[in-house]
Amino acid sequence: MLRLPTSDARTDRSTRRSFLIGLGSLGLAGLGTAAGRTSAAIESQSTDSQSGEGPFPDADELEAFVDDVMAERIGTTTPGASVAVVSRDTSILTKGYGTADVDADIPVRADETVFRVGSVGKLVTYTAVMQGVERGLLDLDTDVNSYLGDSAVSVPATYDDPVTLRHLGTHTAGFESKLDPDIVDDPAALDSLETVLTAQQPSRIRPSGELVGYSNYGAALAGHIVAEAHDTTFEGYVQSEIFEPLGMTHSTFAQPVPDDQPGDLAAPHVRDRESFLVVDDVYINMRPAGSLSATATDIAAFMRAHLGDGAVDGTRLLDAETAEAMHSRHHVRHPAVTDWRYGFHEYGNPDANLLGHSGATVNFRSHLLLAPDHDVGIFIAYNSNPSEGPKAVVDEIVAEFGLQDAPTTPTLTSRPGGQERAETVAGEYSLSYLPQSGPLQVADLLAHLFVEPATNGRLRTTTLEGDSRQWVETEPYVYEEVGGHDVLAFEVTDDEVDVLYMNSEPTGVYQPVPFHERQFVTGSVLGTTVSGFGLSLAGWSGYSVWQQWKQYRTDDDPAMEDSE
Amino acid sequence: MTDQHTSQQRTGTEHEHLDRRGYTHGVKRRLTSALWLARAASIGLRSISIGFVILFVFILETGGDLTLITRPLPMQIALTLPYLIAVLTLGTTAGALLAWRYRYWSLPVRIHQTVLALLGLAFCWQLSTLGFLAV
Repeated sequence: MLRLPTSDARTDRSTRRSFLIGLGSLGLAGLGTAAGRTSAAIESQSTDSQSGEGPFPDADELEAFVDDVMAERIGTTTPGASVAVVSRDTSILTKGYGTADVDADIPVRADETVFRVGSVGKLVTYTAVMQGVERGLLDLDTDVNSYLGDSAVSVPATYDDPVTLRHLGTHTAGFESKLDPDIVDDPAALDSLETVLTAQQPSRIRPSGELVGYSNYGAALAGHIVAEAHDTTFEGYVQSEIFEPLGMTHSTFAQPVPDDQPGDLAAPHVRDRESFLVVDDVYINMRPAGSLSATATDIAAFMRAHLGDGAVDGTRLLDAETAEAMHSRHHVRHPAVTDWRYGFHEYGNPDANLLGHSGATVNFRSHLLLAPDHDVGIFIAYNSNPSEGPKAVVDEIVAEFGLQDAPTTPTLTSRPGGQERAETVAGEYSLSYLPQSGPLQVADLLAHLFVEPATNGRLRTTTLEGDSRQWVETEPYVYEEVGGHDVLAFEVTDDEVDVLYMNSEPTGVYQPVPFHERQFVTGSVLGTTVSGFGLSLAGWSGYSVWQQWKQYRTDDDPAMEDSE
Repeated sequence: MTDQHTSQQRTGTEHEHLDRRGYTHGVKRRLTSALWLARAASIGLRSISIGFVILFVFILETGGDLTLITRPLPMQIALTLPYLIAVLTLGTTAGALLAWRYRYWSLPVRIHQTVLALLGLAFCWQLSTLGFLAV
C-alpha cells in the first residue's frame, strides 16, 4: 500500500496536501506493494551532450550544472531521473541519472528508460487537436457536441454558451473538478474512453470561458473528439500522426505498456526512510489526460517540434501558423498574471514568455518547459513523486542560464488607500480546481489561502501547511511577492473580492470562501462535536459502571439481605 | 422413560419456550419503544461518530491519501458511516423532541439527549460541507 514519502511530521502534512492538491494536475496515482529496497547511488547514463547555442553556448557547462543539481537529488529526492534540454536544431543534453528500478539496479538511460509522464501527455493531446484544426476537421470555437454525433458522450446544455475545444484547451469549460482521472490499480478495470467519459461526466458548475479550473475530464474529452473526428482510437491516432512522424518510438498512451514496446519502463517508487521501495503501477482511464509513457529523448523530439515552428529535422507536425496559434494566448486570466496558451500555461514571470506543463502520477513526476524566445526546451522526469518535484530543477536551470530576469524588489504603489485595499482583500480563499463535492472536498479545505494585511502596507498570505509570504502592492489590487516572481491580482467589485489570481497557480483561481466553509468554522464544529460525543460516552460509561458497582455492593451486603 | 421423567422434560421445554418468548417479547418491546430506540440511537450516534473519525484517519495514515481515490474496502466502509450517522442523528433528534413532548426521563437526561441531538446535527452539517454526505 502506498505511503507517501515522509521525513518528519511537517513534511508529512505538507506532502499530503501537495498530493491532494497536486492530483489536479496528475494523470495518475498509485497503489503500491513493497517489493524491495535499496539506496540509490548517483549514476548517470546515456549522455548526449552537443555543442549548444543561445543560453547554452557551452554544452559541457550545462551538463556540469545539471549533474550538480541532480546529484543533490538522486538517492534522496528520487531514485532516478531523466533529463532533456533542447533547442530547435538539436538536443543539447539528454541524460539519465540514478536508477530506473532499485530492485533490479537498472540505471536510467535517457533514450531507453520510459517514464510515466502524467499530464505532460496532455500537450500531445492538444497538439492532436491543433492538427485537427489545421485539417479543417475541428474548430476551436464550435460546440464540442457537434463532433460527438456518433458518440454516447454529450455535454449538457447547463448554460447558454456551449463548451468548445478552446475551453477544453484552456481548462475554462467550467466542469467541476473531481481530481481523480479515474485511476484503477488493475488493468482489467480499464474501460473504453467513451464509456469512461459517459460514466464519469462531471457537472458544469460555471459558465464556459469565465474562469480556469483544471480538468482531467476536459483533456480526456478533447482526446475523444480527436478520435471521433478521425474515426479511429485516440491511442491509434497519436501513434500514427505524432509519435511515428517524430520518431518517438518509445512513446505510447497504451496501458499497460505493451511488452513489445521498445525501451524499459522505469519502476514507480515510494520513499521509505533512507531508501526507496518499488511499488505497483496504476492505470488511468482518462488516457488522453495522463497515460503517456515516454523517454526523455522522445520528449526532446516533441519539444524541438514545438520550438521549430511545428517541424523537426524536416518532419512537420504542425504548420508554422498552427504552431504559432497554439503558442499564442487563448485565455487571459488577468493582465498581471500567467495566462493560458493552447494546452500550455505560462510559467514564471508573465513577461518572460515561458510555456510549461507539469505532470505526475502518484509515483512518477515530470515537468516540461519551453522558452521560445531563447529557443530552449527543458524536460525532467522522476520515477517517484516527492514533495519537491522536478519543477525545482527546471527553476534552477532557468535562473542559472537567465531564461527569465531575476526578481526585483517590488515598488510600493504611490496610489493612496493601500491599507483600505489590503483590508478589502483580506479573507479566506479556495481554489477553483479542487472538488466541490465528495470526500476529496477535504483537499479544498486543507488548501485554503489566508490573506491578511501586514505592516508597511504589505499583504501576508499563509496556508495551513505553513507557507507564509509577503507581498507589496505595486498597482491597486495587484501585489508582487517579496523575493520572488509571484503575483497576486484581485478582481474587486463594490469592495467585495470576486476572484483572486495567483501567478504561480495557473491551473485555477481563488474565490472567497463562504463563512460556513471556513477552516475555523469546520475545525471548531468538528472539534466540539467529537469532543462532546467523547465526553458523553465516557460519562455514560462511567455512570453505568458506577450503577452496576452500586448494585453489586447492594446484592452482596448481608445486612441488606437480612433486612429484606 | 417414566411419567416423572416425561413430566420433568415437558416442564423444561416449557421453561425454555417461555424464556424464548420472554426474550422475543423483550426485544419486540424494546424495538417498539420510542424511549429505548431514542437512547440506542444516541449511543450509536456517539460511538459511530467517534469510530468514523478514528477509522478515517487510521486508513489515511496507514494506506495513504490514495485510498480516497482507489477506495479499498476499509475506506468504502468508512465512507458509508456518515450516512449511518445521519440516520442516528435523526433518531436522536426525534427522541429528544418526544422526550420534551411526553416528559420522558428526568430533566437532566432530556437535556443530555437534546445536546446530543444538536451535536449530531452540527456534525452532519460539517460532514455534508466536507462532501461525506451527498444530499
